[in-house]
Amino acid sequence: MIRLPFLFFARTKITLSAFAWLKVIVLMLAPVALYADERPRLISTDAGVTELIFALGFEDDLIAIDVTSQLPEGFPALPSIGYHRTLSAEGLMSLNPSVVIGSEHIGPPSVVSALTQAEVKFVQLRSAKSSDQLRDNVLTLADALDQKEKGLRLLTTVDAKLAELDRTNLAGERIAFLLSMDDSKLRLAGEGTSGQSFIELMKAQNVADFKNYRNISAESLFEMQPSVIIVAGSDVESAVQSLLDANPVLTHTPAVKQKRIIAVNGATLVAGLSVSAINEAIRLTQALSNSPALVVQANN
Amino acid sequence: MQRSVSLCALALASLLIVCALLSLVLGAMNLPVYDSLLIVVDKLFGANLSQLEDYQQIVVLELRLPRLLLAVFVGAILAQCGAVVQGLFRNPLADPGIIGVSSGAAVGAIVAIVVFPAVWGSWTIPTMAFVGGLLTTLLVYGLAQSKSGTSVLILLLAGVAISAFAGAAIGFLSYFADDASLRELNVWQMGSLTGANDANLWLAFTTMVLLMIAFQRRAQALNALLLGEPEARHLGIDVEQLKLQMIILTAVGVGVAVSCSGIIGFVGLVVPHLVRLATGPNHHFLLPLSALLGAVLLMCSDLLARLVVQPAELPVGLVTVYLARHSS
Repeated sequence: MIRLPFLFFARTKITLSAFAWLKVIVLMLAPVALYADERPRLISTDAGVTELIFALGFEDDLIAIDVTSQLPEGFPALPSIGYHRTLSAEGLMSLNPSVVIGSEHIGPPSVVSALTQAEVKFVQLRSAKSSDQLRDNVLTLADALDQKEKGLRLLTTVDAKLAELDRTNLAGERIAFLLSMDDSKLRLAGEGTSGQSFIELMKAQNVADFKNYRNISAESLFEMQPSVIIVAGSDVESAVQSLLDANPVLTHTPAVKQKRIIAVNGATLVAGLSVSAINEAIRLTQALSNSPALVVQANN
Repeated sequence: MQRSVSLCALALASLLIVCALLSLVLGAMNLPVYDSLLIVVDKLFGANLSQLEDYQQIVVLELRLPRLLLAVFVGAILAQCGAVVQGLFRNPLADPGIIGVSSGAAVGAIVAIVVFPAVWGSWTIPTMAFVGGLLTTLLVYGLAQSKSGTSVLILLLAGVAISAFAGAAIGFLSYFADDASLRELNVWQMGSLTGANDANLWLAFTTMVLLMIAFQRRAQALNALLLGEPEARHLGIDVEQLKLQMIILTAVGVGVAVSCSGIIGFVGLVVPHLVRLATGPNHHFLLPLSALLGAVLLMCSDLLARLVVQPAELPVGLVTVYLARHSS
């Protein structure tokens, strides 16, 4: 029990000396940074926002991200600012950002008000549940960063993709969207989830009529008679097979009988709709309408 | 005996001051040390000594200072309540949570998060947590009543049973919660001092002062209770009255602490224990020294929570558990 004060002193001593060194480095670099660096310094506090920043081509200005954001492979690691509902005001300010971009859930309120007082610029984008919201977000973000042209350019691409989806949609299909974290549990996407947005993107119908994600029994999923099953998991290669191994009763659903069961990359969907989610939707609709009698495996 | 107590008090008081200064000076932002301290002097006495820029003043005065004060108040409240509960149960391993206040507060908080979010704005969760904690404690106390007065043994068992029941209620409610509410509950349960503002600082400060006075006046009675209930009764102490008062005061104290900062574990368990090992079980000294050590421990924990994973920060409840595990 006497170790307690010693432990504390040891820690502070290390931090102090680390700080002293940091201070020296910062002081040495400060004049350089002041004149050479006029690029915006962006912090993203939301996975969807990070996606959008990459889609718009602003990734080089990104200086920090939150824990849910995923960077593409090979992109240099960025400092993490934690979870977007429990931000640290001082932590954000220490990175000297020019704009902090997040969703409507950014918080806690005390931190937001402290940052506003310190005149840190905020951009809040609503989480994209529909393609309209996604288009809005593209324009809002591009506008906020004075890069309207880039926004319009991305919007043209997005519109072309949406038109493509309109041509090859899955109207009339009853889709079950399963989040596969643990194969023995069937977590079905209901209303208001990103799974639902994904199904709506393909103009199909969701078999679930409840809100949020819910664990359901294999029997009730069987009873819903889905004509297509989408499995969102971290391991795309084996997701379908391990789901069927764990729940053999599903082989009797119309979807599996006609081999219309598909794995998607869950990472493209965690933060609501995004450009890569639209790409994924196009890939799925094409695969399903071209070769309805195949178990389609994801290729990314 | 007297000497070791005053030595301890002196050491803890100086530790408190050193930690407070460090908390003001250290953080994710690298600010000039002397100016950071001078700005607090400026604020207190209306002087104009510091040369910090406006946004730097906000960091010290509105981010670091309120957190540091809340850590002191909450730490002192939790540690004192822990000392009292351990005295009441005559068990050095008792924790304020044992009378159901923490689990009740958690149920109140999840009801606020899941069932009616934002009825009273940002006060919804704290108020519900406080009410939940108090009601649960009264329920536990009610269950422990018998013809021969309040049985401490039944009080303990009822506390365990009600905590299990509260766990089930939390599980039930979280099944119907959406992902965002679940995450919010999760973070709330790990405790944080981020929400420090004028209103809850005054609330915590007043509670701390009132509890200190109330507990200190009953220190003699608590000492007598250590001999055993019949012995205390023979010494002329109204044991039933004392138990009821202590349980209600503890519930109010922990309830206020929980509603200001979420659930912060182990401060109430470890601090009085350490003090008792150093200076003995006399409540006249145990209570104020526990308050001091509790304040120091929570302030250090918050400092570590802010520094370890910057620019993000850890929930302070995780740090107290870690420190407590290493100290015991």
